Amino acid sequence: MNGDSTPAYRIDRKLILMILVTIVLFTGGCWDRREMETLGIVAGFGLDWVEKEKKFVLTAQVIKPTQVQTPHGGGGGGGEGEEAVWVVKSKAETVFKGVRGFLFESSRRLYFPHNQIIVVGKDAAREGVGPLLDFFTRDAEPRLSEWFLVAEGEAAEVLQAKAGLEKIPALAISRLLNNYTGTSEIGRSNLLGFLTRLLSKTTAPYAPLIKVEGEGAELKYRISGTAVFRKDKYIGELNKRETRGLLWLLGEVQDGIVTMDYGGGKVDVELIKSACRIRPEMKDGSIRMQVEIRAEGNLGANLAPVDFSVTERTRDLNSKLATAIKGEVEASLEKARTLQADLFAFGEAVQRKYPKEWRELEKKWMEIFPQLEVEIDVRTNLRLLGLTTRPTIIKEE
Amino acid sequence: MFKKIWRKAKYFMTIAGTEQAEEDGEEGMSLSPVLGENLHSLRQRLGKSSDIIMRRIILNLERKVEAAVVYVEGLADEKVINDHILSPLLKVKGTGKKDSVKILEYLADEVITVGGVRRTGNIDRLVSLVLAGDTLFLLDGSARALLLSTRGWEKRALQEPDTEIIIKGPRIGFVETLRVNTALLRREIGHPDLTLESLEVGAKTKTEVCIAYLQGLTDQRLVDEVKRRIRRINTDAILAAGFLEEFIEDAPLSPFATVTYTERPDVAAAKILEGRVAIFTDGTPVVNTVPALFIESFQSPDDYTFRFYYSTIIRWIRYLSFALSILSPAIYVSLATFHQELLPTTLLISMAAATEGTPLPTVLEAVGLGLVFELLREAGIRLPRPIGQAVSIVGALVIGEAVVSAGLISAPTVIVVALTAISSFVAPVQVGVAALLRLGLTVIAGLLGAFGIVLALLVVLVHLASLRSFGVPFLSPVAPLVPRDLKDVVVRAPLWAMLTRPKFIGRDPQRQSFDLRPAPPGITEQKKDSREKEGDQG
Amino acid sequence: MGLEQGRISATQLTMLIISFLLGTTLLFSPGGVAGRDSWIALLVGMVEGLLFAFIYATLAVRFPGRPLIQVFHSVYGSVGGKVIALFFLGYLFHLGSLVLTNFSFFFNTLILIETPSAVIVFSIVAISVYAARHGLEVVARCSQVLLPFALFFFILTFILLIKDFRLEHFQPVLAISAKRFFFAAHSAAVFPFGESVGFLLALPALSDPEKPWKCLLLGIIISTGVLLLSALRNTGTLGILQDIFFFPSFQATRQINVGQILTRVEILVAVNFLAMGFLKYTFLLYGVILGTAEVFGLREYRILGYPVGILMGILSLLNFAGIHENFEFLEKVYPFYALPFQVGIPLFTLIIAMIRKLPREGGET
Repeated sequence: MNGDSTPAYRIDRKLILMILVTIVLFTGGCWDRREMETLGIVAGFGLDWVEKEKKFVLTAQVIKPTQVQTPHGGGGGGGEGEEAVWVVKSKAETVFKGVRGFLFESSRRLYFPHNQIIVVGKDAAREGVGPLLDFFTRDAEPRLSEWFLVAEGEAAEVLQAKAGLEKIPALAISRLLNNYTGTSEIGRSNLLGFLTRLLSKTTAPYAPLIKVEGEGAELKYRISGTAVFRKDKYIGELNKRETRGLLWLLGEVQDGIVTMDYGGGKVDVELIKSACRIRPEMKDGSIRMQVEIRAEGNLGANLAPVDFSVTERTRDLNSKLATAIKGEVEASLEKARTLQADLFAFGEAVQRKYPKEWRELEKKWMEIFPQLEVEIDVRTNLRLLGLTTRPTIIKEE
Repeated sequence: MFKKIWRKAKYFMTIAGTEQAEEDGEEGMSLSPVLGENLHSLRQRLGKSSDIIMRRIILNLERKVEAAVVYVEGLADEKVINDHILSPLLKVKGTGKKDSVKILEYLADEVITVGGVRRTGNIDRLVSLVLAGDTLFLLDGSARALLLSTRGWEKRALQEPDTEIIIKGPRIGFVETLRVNTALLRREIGHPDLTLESLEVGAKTKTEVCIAYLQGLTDQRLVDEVKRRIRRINTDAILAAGFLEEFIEDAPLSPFATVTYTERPDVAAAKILEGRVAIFTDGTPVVNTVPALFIESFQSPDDYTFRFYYSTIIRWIRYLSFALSILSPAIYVSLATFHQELLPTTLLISMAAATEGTPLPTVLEAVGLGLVFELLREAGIRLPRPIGQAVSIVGALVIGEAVVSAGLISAPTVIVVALTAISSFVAPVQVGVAALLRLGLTVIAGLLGAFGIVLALLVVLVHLASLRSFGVPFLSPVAPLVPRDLKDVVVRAPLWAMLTRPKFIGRDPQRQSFDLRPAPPGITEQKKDSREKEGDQG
Repeated sequence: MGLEQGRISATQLTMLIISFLLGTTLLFSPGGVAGRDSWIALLVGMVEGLLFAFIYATLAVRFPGRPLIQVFHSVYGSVGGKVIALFFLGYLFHLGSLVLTNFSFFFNTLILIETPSAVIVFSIVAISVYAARHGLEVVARCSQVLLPFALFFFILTFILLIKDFRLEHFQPVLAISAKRFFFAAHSAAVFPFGESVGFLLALPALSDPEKPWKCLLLGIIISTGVLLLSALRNTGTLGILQDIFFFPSFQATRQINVGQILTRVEILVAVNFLAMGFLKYTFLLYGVILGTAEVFGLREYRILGYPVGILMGILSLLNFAGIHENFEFLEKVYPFYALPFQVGIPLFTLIIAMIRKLPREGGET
């Protein structure tokens, strides 16, 4: 049967063992146990560089849970006046030391797994974000899904600004980036994406630029463009149009609006989806990139005196749309060329197709890239025209 | 003493109406031919108990013969004694026999109108039968006595069991009387292979224990093993089936019960039909079945009467709720105090807001509230029903609400403990184990987090894997894996598809024929017809 | 015959082998040296691993139902057999301690940062000893319960990550040097497939002695399938980034995010690792105590459980000064260090047995 007929003495031994284990566990204490009220949950993290002192200034936006959770019905609590976050700063030579330096001010250990955004001030970005990335990848707490942003001014300002709808501003920024598809003009980048680009030897990382406006307690922020990096250093930026061009080439454009002049009025096309294929062609040692963009859209607004329910006109609009898209892409390409930043992962495309030749090309890719011939082929399709057939406003001829 | 009991038990066949020849050469004192002596020695044995009736009568035969009727008031049916024993006896005028022994035979064969009549001369045996409710008839001059089956005491009426409530299916439960229970079983299983064997356990209580199985279907080694284990019990009292369970278990130190029980005849019958042995204990409205499998705790008779899709879902809910009932406080504690990174941000914020300012560590909150819950439950069970309800209202509402609003314990803890409490009722068979595991897991989760939980679960798993119930691995058919038996574990297959009996139990694997899937009559013919018609047209 | 009275079925053994092979590899990607080509390296490594398994199965079938130590005895003689057996058991002992080291490094890095590694190691040792003392049957049953859960969790993480896969991460295919690729493939063969050499100790307990082929081959192929999915998942999600992490599987699972709700489930990887690693370690412990008891002619092996387990635990704490040594050992030393034990001893034993025409008919016991 069981085979393990348990004699009485063995019970005693088991008992002793269990008692020993219990004693060890209880006297040893609970090493990693940390109650929730001992944690300062970081929602946003900022990094600035003070050139004079050669020191980093770290800013953390820490959540005050009780302030977020206003008890419904109950009139008590802090009321409306209290802020839901607490912004704390620390100054140190390295990021990791600075993170510990928060403890000079904070009664709670700062806790990073729920961090939503990392904002880097422009000065710090120029100096290089490597030290920051090292902390955020080496430490066990942060996650790679955090959004990475560059502040036009200081990161600390961004973290002090208020969000209109959310109680936690950092959470608001993260949601804002999640909804980038509404415009497709935000070049968002999380830690994973940023690192992947950084680790590839030629591709340039990018991150959205965030700008703070207003005064004092009425600070507000908005996304203003895209910051471009070479290695881990900030080298320039793209405006919104160029950002859209970048997203076209990355195949990430979804719901944006393209506005065009048509027949003396403005026409908005709402994009639905897009796809992009990049094919390098090598001939006689010179490389040509063939870019094929497909986009589909609906007519979003028609302020032109034109009836688009006629197929010919729609076809015409289609080609206009293609030209507009091509313009955006070219603007983006032009900027990338001047910045010498391979934002579009052309290098990797070449590497995938010509792995042998790539070993040679890789070394001088920065010289090749600006001269790269790019052939852009845009195909568009207008599917739906909305609810109305003819324009509501028809100008007299 | 021990040997004596089981030798006795061996001869102890009590199926009513069976006449059994007197076994000679039995140990113990024999009756003497003198009535007075017999009554004297009986009085010595039975003491001065007021419920023992010894009625002396005089039979007016060819000569006057002294006789006596001995029975226990309350156990024996006095109406039967009056109508079928005393009144015919006192009316007898002559027997035509001289010898007392012959007279006794005549009376047994031609006068007494009671079904079960036994003859014995052994005092030990007749004493125990009198105490079981039989009536003893002693005749002066005879060294043997008649034992008349007159058992009939007040019984509880048959009613639906309170613990295993079902929606569809029979609403009848076992009662305290063993014979009624065996009769209920006979009504479920009409096949003559159903074998009932009786044993007597308990030196003082002399409890009758009856094992039931299907001859030929049940493994004979299993039957022998059950009998061996029951016979080796040498204790003074078996007051309920639970006593017996503890003496015949495979793993006496395990928190898991390796003997199952049921209050329902249909369940007992179903288990016997799978090849198990059922053990009836007199005096308990519960029947034990062996071998037991872990999976049985999650099966309910309703599973087999509802549509199988629904039954499958319900069964998974039962698994889930068992897991919840042992794990949820532990997982809660580990998430709240070790792995806050695993909570969604908004949930973490709400939880952190709720715990803000509570004085106790989360582990103590969970353990303490868990104990309060056990306390409430115990109070609810033991108290009379109306008061029990009041207690649960006070406990659940007042304590729960007050403790949170006073900021002593955080609201999430109360929610988790309440969820645990509810889910622990869904798989009721393992309630005891669940409470124990829950406590242990919560404490270890407070010490080592998820790591501790997994380790503790591994210990439980190793323990479960090492258990056997009467030779059958407790975790089968999952480990060892018997794929075809998963039809009643992972899903509840339609009854017509459950072709086989569990592999490890019983001998005859096939339960039914293969083509039982119902189909409307004549479908195949219709198809054939239409095809032929098409063929004609084409 | 041997000290193990229990018998396990072919299904049980196969599942145990799969659990064993997935033991630490769900976390430490085998063939990871090959980067984005690790999935191909894994397949090539599997072929080499199957060759190893071929040796083990041939050996087991040649001596059906005979405990390994007795085989050594009859092949090398009494003294030689003992020496070889001790070397072999020494390897398993070391392997067991390496598994424990992996546990302590992983948990100390990611889950239980401040908990002393001795607590982690010895709590696992205690449970494994408890299991190993119950014998092979119980260990096999545990694997039958744990493996489906582990596979379910694993496949869940795989499915949830499919939407994050980028095909570009796999290209260019095989751009690394052939030397490096074959080295990666070989590493994958040695870790984990060759480690199934430990099952030489368990094969005699198979209820059907003709089945070792099936069990070993099926075990290796199925676990390769799982590891392949794991490699694809890591490369597909992390791409080039997987090279900078010690535990790419954990990082990849961290990326799971389905609609901001189904997210932060990486603990599943830790749970899987703990469950499968527990089985791996328990089996190694069982093998060592069973083999040692047979070498020294003890009447039972259970008694060795605690001493051997504790020694393994102590060795695991002394193995490496830091995690870097562990990975360096795994990448540079282990592929050579393991060869004599994984290939040398079984192959040599098999060849000598063939030359000496062992086992003789109705011969020795």
